[in-house]
Order: sequence, then C-alpha cells, then structure tokens
Amino acid sequence: MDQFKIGNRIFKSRLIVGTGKYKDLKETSDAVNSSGADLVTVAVRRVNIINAKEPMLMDFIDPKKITYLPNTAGCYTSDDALRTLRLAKESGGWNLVKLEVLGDENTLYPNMQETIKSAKILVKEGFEVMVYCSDDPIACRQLEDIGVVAVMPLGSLIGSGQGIPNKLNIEIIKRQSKIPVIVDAGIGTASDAVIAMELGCDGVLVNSAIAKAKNPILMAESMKNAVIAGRQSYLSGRMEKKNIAIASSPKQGKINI
Amino acid sequence: MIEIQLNGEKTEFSNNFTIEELLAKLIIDKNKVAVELNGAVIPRQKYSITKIVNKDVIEVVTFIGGG
Repeated sequence: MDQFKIGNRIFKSRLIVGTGKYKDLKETSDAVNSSGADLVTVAVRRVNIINAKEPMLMDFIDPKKITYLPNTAGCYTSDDALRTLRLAKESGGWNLVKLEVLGDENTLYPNMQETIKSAKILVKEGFEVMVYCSDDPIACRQLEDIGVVAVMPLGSLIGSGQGIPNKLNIEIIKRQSKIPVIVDAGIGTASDAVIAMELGCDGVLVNSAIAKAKNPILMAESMKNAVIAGRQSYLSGRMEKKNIAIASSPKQGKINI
Repeated sequence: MIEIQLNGEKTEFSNNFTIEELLAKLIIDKNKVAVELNGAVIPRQKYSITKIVNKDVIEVVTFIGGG
C-alpha cells in the first residue's frame, strides 16, 4: 500500500492545493473538489468587521471533510509567523501548519534563518510543521533534524509557473530525507507536477497553476491525474536511457519480399 | 465609554463587555474565528469570561483562501 503520510495523518491525495487567487469561493470549492485534494492551504486574515456576514471559506470548503493547512503567507519575521499560527491553531483546533517566512517581496524567497528559528519554537509548542523552504539540501536537513513533519522546497518562485529548473537539488533533498518532500511553488502545468513526482517527491503543492488556468476546474483534474501518473511512473522504475535505437518489434518472422 | 483597537481600527463602545458579547454584537460565528487580545490568543472557552477594557488591542481572524 502506497500511503501518503504526513506526521501521523494519512492523506488520500498526494496533491495539495492552495485556495488563493480564485475568482470566487464557489470556484475555489469546485477546483478543490475537482483536484481530489484532501489537504488545502489557507491563509489567516482579519475578519471583515464591517460586513461579518460576507461568505467565509468554511462555508464553501468543509474543514471536517478537507483538512485545512493554515499558512503564514505574507509573514517576514519569525514573530509574525508564530503569532499567525498560534491564532490558526485556535481557529481550527489542530496542529498541522505550513510555515513560511519570507525574505524578499519581489521573489517571495524564504528567509531560512527566520524559518529555522520559527520551526524550532513551533515544534517545541507541539505543532506539526510543514515548511516552505529553499531547495537547499543543508537547510532541509536542518529542518528535519529540528523535527518538522515535511519539507517543502520551492520548484521555482511562488506564482511564477517556471516549473523545476533545478531538478538535481530536489533529487538530492529527496534522497537524504526521511520525512516527506513536497515540491511547493513554481508548478506551472501538469508536466511540472509529473516531473516532481518522478523525481520521487512525496507530494506537490499547487495553487496558481490551477487558479490562473483558463479553466481552473479542468486544470485541477489535470493536476490530480499528473500527480497520480508521476507517482506511478516513479514506483514503476523507468527504463534505462540509451543512445542507440532498440527496435520494439522482433526481427524474426519478418516476411521477405 | 471605552476605546479599543479592533482589527487595526479605533472603535468606541459605550460600556465594558466580554469577547463573547463583542462577537455577538458583530454577528460573528465564534466557531469560525480566533481572537487575540493584546498579543495573546484567547481560547474559545474563555470568551465568555474574558472582559474587554479600555485601550485593549483585539484581532479577530479567520481562514481565507491562500497558497
């Protein structure tokens, strides 16, 4: 049985989807359903005090059926990230969170020093921490040593759709890690998700590639299939690459003219 | 009269009340939000006994779409 286990939780789908950037909450919910994901990232933000009656995400995606993974998107310091996740824990009542501490507004690249500092505190406080991080094998190892439940190295910049330019690093990280490795950020299209999975990654997190597709609902399904196909391909063990042609049909029995 | 900072906005109320009463006033479902009072998260079961006083800084947050 090929189980996808993060901490002590088992998920059906190796595709994790983000819930940002959709046209409206209905589209968000339709895309999540179409993706088959049972783990979705969510952001923590102030309630609209003036119009508290406006629809909430929880009205469209039932947290009892789909696990919410609160993130710290937009946090640039450890203090901000910790504050956000402590609030998230109280909102949802669970410990599984996605930590991201950003270092730069143009690249949204993670600040690994602040990230590692935050991860240490969160693990001590009993959180199960999944961490958005650079594709740096040393940083990933440090995070694993701290006791996080998954590392989520970037394929490329958040929202860039540039895929995984540095496959070698992702491969190294996967090879050395005992905890799940999930490619987060940069997936632009289904083939990128397949590549991540064929590299042996345990899962993929996709948001913009689905939300910004012309047909997000169809792209969500495409990502679902891509992750399944990539995983199956990885488990199958691909054929050896060769520099010469090897015929697929036998020579024997060929008719002579 | 008390003046509190609620989600970044200065807000005036005529008398003291609890967090539970504040959420009810704002028609907010307490099961869908989390509340921070002066930097500390308040557990949901303490909303009814936690008083809001003059100059308190309150954040009421919920989950929204995000990546």
